[in-house]
Amino acid sequence: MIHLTDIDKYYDSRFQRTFVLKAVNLEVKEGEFVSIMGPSGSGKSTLLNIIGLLDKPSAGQYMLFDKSALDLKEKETVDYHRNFMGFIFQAYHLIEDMTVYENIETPLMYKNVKVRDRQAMVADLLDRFNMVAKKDLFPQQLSGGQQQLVGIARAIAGKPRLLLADEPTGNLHSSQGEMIMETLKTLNNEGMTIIQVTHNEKFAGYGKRIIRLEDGIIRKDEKSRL
Amino acid sequence: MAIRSILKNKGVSSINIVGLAIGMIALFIASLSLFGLVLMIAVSRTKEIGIRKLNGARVSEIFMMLNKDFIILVVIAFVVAAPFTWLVMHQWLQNFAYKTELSWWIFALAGLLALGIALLTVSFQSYKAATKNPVESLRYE
Repeated sequence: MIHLTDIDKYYDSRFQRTFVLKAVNLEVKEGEFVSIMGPSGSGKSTLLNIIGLLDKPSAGQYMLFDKSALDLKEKETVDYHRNFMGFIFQAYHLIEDMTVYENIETPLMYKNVKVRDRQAMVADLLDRFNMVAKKDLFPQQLSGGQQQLVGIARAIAGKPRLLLADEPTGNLHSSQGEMIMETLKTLNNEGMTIIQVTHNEKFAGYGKRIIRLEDGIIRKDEKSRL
Repeated sequence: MAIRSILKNKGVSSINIVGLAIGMIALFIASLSLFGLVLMIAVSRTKEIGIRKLNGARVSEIFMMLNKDFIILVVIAFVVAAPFTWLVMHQWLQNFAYKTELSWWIFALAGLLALGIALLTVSFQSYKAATKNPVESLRYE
């Protein structure tokens, strides 16, 4: 599904070139659950952003579903974001002045789903994550774990095939983190492809495959032992 | 003084010139404050704009979302200002024996002009906010 070949990402300053990613080759198949690990500044987030079409590599090839995903027009990128991928973040990134319901509804509105269908879909998601009673609350009134659940609900509302998670448990207690990871695992079992960036060795183990980045280079690409 | 006498010959009195000048200054100051307002809103909504883009919003949709609020503001301002303007102008025109009609299109034109200037002021900032890469808007917490 995702095929990265010789991806470089660098920044030129006056006298030298700083590499964030160097010669990264990566293939991710549909249905995989990949954890990317590495120290701060090793290029994990940059790699995730490139996969999520939020950043462009300086060199290399990126094939998404056998189609080159470089040099896309804005409309094509937006189509991928609408129909193909969902994002979750360390800081949840919910819209503060919108309720839980409205937050989950947002991607559906941009997807031009009809009001009736929208209501049904959001209701299903609320039901699935046991948040029906909280649908009219604002993000700040929820615990971190619940906010992240809303984040996941919003990310999967548009029925994407790929879920990109940038340290989804970074701000959470370990018990809440575990709940989030269990949720991701369930989603993966249902067929969702997931790529997550994490610092936590234990949570990385929820993935079926662990990629270790160091200084922008893939050091290890191993099967998870769990 | 030469200019004034020329204008006078053409039937333009100094009160017209002063009125025009004051009008221009008022419009300029109003545009400045509008510019400041949209700058503030764009900055305070940077994060929200980034989130919306990640959830599939197009640049054009963000642009419209930001501009819509200001169109509403201008329309409200117009609705408040129009009756007063009519009243004052009507009173003032009573001073003349031969006078022009206060037809509706003068108000429509003024309203459209105000809307145009407001949009021009606002669009620049909105466009900048809408085209910003979400990665950058969401990086700092």
